[in-house]
Amino acid sequence: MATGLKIKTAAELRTNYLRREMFPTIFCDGCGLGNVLNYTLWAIDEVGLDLDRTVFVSGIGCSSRLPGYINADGLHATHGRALAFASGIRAANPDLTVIVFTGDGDGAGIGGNHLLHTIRRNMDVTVILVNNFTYGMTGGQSAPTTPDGGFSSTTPYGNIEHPLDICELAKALGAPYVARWPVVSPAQPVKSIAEGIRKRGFALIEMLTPCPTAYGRRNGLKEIEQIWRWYREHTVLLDEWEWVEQFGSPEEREALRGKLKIGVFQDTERETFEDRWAALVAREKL
Amino acid sequence: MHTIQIDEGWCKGCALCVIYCPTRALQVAARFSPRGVHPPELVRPERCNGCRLCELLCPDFAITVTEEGRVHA
Amino acid sequence: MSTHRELIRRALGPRVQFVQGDDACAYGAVLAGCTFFAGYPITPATEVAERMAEILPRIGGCYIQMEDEIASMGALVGASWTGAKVMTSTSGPGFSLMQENLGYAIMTETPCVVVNVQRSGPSTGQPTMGAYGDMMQARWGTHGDHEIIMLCPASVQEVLEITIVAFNLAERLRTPVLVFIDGELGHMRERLVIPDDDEFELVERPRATDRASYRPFAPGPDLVPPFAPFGSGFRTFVTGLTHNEEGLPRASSAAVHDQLVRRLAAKITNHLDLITRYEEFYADDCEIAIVAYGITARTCRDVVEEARRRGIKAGLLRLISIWPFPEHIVARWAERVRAMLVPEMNLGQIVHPIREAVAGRCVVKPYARIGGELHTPAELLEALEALQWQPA
Repeated sequence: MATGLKIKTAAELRTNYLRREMFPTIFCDGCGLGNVLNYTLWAIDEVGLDLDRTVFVSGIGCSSRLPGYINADGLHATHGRALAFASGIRAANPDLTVIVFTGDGDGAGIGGNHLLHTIRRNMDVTVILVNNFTYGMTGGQSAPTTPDGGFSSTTPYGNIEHPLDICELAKALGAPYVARWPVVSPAQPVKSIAEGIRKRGFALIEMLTPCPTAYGRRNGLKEIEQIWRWYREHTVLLDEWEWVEQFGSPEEREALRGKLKIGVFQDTERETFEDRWAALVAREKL
Repeated sequence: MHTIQIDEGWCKGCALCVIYCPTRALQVAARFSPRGVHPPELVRPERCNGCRLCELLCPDFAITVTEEGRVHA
Repeated sequence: MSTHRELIRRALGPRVQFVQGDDACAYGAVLAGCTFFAGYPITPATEVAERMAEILPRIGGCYIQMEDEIASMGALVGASWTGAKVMTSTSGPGFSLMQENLGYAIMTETPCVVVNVQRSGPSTGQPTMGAYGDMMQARWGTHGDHEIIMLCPASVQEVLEITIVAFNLAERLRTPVLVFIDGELGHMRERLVIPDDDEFELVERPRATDRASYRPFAPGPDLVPPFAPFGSGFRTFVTGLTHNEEGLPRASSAAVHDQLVRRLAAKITNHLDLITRYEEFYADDCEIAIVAYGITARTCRDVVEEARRRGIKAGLLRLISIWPFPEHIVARWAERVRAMLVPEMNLGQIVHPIREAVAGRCVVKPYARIGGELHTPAELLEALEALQWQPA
């Protein structure tokens, strides 16, 4: 495989990483959240993280249930506040690795301000933000990411609000690592999550994840195969996107409309809050 | 030759493994699992090349590919 | 190399100082072993954060200014789960924002200390004026059934001492503890004597020791579960959902919810002996009592003395712990006195549990004052005198 992964079996992942008493998961048929969990475990295995020294933090929503399935320390916090709780953990004990699972509503709606400031401080956390365009757990209401015109139980006549591009926001705020991948192919997300964990500083991996139950069925994507195919057909790699924008024909450029750019958008270095605090303490401690 | 093991307590019958199998070695079984869903089955084992995409794509950690003869934990 | 306690001493400076209540609160926290503070500026509590920002790096702790009070309370919980002793401070509007995560701390048995230097509300109200308008919000501010511990000191010296007590209770019972003062006390300067380490007790949260038998929310005989910090290999799952003793969600189980929420309440109410604090003046022959707390109680002390000089058998019950409400103490006073005067810097909040405890055994007369000024001795004396003529 492209990532150079040593193939683990699902059975090995189950034995090494999962709280088996929590299975099967609460996720619906065709939901990609189980895949996000699967890819995260592959990435953790690749990085060789010590689960005794790793804390999984989340807010509220479908994606925020993920820490409960992992046999490690977990903090299933309040809605939107995962990054505040995670910041407390990292600030008080920078020796712990912190991985945050959040959703588009949790992380960028109610928790948008925490996202902004956690990136600004550059807390060394890896945020896996699962974007399914909707509030799935409450039955499919419009989210800050619901596409223009998208139908939901609270936009029954189509969404009139402009959707938020979470990766563009993170990039603008100077997050050292920003990537977006659809959940439909495993290799790139596994590689990106591993890179995010290794990155010293804030890493955001936005996972585009199908929600056939709450979003798909209102938007003509009810069948599992159909909605999964939609993600393949409506995502365009960054390089290709930029090529089309620069050199593409008007038809090719028009074809980008309604599609989502995927890839690694930012991969830089920036001093973290933790490093700067440690330096301050080294200077000022009596 | 490969075989697959399905944890029928965890499989929700989403059939993503069947949909994405590059060699079309899997199919949805006609029978019901104890959970009341149709699990996948390896109907054309000669086609399975052990790529394990089904394992990687399974949202429920329910499918494991093994090489025949290898004892699997 | 100096020890941590020596570092604390050096960071706090001279043993006798002339400081504000807010400063004393920060000093008490540091003496109690607090190494983490998350906060957001708000009048009249800002000085607590300022002192912590100065002191914590000097003793190797961590101060983080969060984007709002919601985040402060969240960071506090996260930090506490690493095993640190933690505190935040705020005032009314910020305390309102903290309510949801305060409930999370109660549900997840996370030790933490929350200071509210109260100001007048509702809303922005009078930011620089003292008040005690959040007494009931402290009790019922977060949603759902719960018990909360709240302490109300009355002097700068007592702010320091009570902050240490707050940490000890938070650790001992694994629960949030509220320290409530007001803008007057927070900004008032008084002589403060920083006590030596052998002059106060320090309590640490009960620790889990055996990984094999570890069940994160299985209580000990005192109803408090032993604690295993994140990173210690015990692999604890913490959730605000109704959870079983393993910590795993059981949100649809009436039995698990009933057992959990009743235990969380009983964990507090079974330890009234540890929590309840009050001061009595002329309890033995008192006929007309003042029941007061916080800075108001200081005026009352003088009023009682003056009333005695005028031949009124007055007395004072000064409540220091407000929640859980010391019902038995107030009830005992109600047996003996003819009337209780309850001056409060709000429109009447603690007068309600007082009436409940008194249960009609004596007259209970509220004396409300809002607007940011303290009750005057003269007006309280007049009110006491008027109560003399109440029929028994």
